[in-house]
Amino acid sequence: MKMMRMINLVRGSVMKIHGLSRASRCLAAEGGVRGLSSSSGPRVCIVGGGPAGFYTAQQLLKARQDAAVDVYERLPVPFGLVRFGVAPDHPEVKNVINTFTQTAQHERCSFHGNVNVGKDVTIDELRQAYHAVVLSYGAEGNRSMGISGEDLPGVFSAKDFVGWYNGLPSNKELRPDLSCETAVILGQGNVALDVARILLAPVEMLKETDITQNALEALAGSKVRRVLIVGRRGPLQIACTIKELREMVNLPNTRADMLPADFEGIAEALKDLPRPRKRLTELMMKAAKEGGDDKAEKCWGFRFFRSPVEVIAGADGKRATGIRLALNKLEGSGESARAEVTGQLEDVDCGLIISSIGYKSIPIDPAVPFDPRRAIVPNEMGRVQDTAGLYCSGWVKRGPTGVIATTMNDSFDTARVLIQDMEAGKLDLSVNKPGAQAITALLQTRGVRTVLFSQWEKITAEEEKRGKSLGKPREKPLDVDEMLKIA
Amino acid sequence: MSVCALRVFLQRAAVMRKAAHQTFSQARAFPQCVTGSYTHSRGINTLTNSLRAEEKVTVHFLNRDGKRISVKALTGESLLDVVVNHDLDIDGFGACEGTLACSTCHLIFEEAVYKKLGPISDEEMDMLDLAYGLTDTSRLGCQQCSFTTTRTHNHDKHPQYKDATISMSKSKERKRETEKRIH
Repeated sequence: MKMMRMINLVRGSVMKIHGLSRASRCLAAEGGVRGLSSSSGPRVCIVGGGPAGFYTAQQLLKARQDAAVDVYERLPVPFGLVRFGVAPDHPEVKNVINTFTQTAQHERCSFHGNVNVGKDVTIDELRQAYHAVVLSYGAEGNRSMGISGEDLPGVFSAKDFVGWYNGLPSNKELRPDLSCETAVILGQGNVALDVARILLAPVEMLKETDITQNALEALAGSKVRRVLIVGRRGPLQIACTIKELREMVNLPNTRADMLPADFEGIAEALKDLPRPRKRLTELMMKAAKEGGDDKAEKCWGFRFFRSPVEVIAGADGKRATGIRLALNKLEGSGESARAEVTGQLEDVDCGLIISSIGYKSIPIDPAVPFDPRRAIVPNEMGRVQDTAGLYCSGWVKRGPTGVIATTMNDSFDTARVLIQDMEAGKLDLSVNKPGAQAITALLQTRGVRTVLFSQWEKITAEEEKRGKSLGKPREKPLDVDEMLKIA
Repeated sequence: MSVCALRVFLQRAAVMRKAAHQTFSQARAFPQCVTGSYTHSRGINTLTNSLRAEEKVTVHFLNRDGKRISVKALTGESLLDVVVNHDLDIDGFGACEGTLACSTCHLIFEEAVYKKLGPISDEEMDMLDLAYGLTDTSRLGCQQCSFTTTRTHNHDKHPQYKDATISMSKSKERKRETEKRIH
């Protein structure tokens, strides 16, 4: 089809330069070689094909008409947490994929999937091949609760649970046991609410989403009827946002079950709150007061002022059957209030424990500075500390919080800083850098098979085809080998 | 973090309001539009004599840096559509493509214009609450349509169209690369 379009253009009386360059880019992409783009412009490498990577690429391509940007991604498939983190029942949030697709298809951009930076190729090798390297590899680890019993069967990180229902290959064997009545989630951010909602949502609704088939089947057989979402501090410190709370309140066939004691003094504090916090708190109080239909089969609730201290194992010591919580009191108020121990404890029976206390970045390469305390790459406005030509954007730069729009602004900032450095001569653009050609050749000698964007397009087409037969937008292949086979 | 709010002002510099709570606008009838499914239902604008879908209104977007982008929008066109259809150079505007899943189309309106906007839904307010630099006259652009207001002079038989000027406190602009149209 692309060849036909090119022929028509030549035949036509007006040749759009845009069309011609798209065609040449298509041909170049098919061949896997950077085609007609200039070899004398800046070459930038981006490590990580999620929102941070693509938004950074987008800005760079716009700001410099001579820049070539290559995005390297560990998985064969792009888009990071937009694909593997955003809940299946939030498809609108995934619309940003359209803008990332446009970026990837840009004639001066190329995507290289199935490349594990740090293992298949080092950061130093990338820095030699490019004028600048941007680290946008996000946070693939999670914060641990640091309590005994955390490794027992029945205890999962939210990151893994979310990865499981979203088809992340490394979580496909998770097989969470959903035969218990009560699940306890530690943490009260939006990820915690996503997990709670997926656990309690009607299967009729889930089966029309892109949730993986195996997760859908597991949830269809789930006996979980009660989900408690536990936080260290109080209602005024809750980290989730109102949209997600409203979705919990509106869940069919569920009622809210909270403790009035947790809300003492909250009504009085309302009037001084900024609007977003005020509305969120009001909705929470309304849910706590009204509860919902008593006949509802399922229930959920927040539990405040509680920190996990131990996972309780069953008699055989082989799996989690409960969690021990320490009761806290609050010192101070507002966002900076601190939880202090009181010494009181409370045990909650449950068979599923999900810790949702934060994702965490990990170091990618010994050559890159890393701050283990904050779990980020130390940087000044996106310029990696003490390392010229190395930048970072997204969660690996600021920490693992924020929505896509937050990452978008942050990535735009890093791109701007990089462009400034180019223009100020801090990056030596007079040196010719080989870019993708050198790296692709290197990877080939190492037996690494890269996946180009056009090959991702084959994978996504196959996913949509499989999904159609199941009445879903897509059905994701669960392992890397299968992805590579389709590509 | 860079700002991502667009400020509206009606042909003069805007002043950021610091009042404590959101003011709801009166539900005046004027062209309704629904982003996404794109149905235009005609309302009666009490201030205009007649409204046709092809009527145009000038919309000014003012960047925080002072740069101004002016376009002629069709009445009934959502402000997100205006940005997309005219390919306006506004960074990251409308990331979720008008589905109330983000706040990147946050606009700050001048009070007079703000008061004429349609009622705000819980869903819009939920997302608006997350916008950077939220003000009392903020709304999400994907939920607002261009409309005309008229001022008739005694001597003048023809209605005067008052332009709406929306300013942006976003410091960056980008050419919207997507060719996807909302409708």
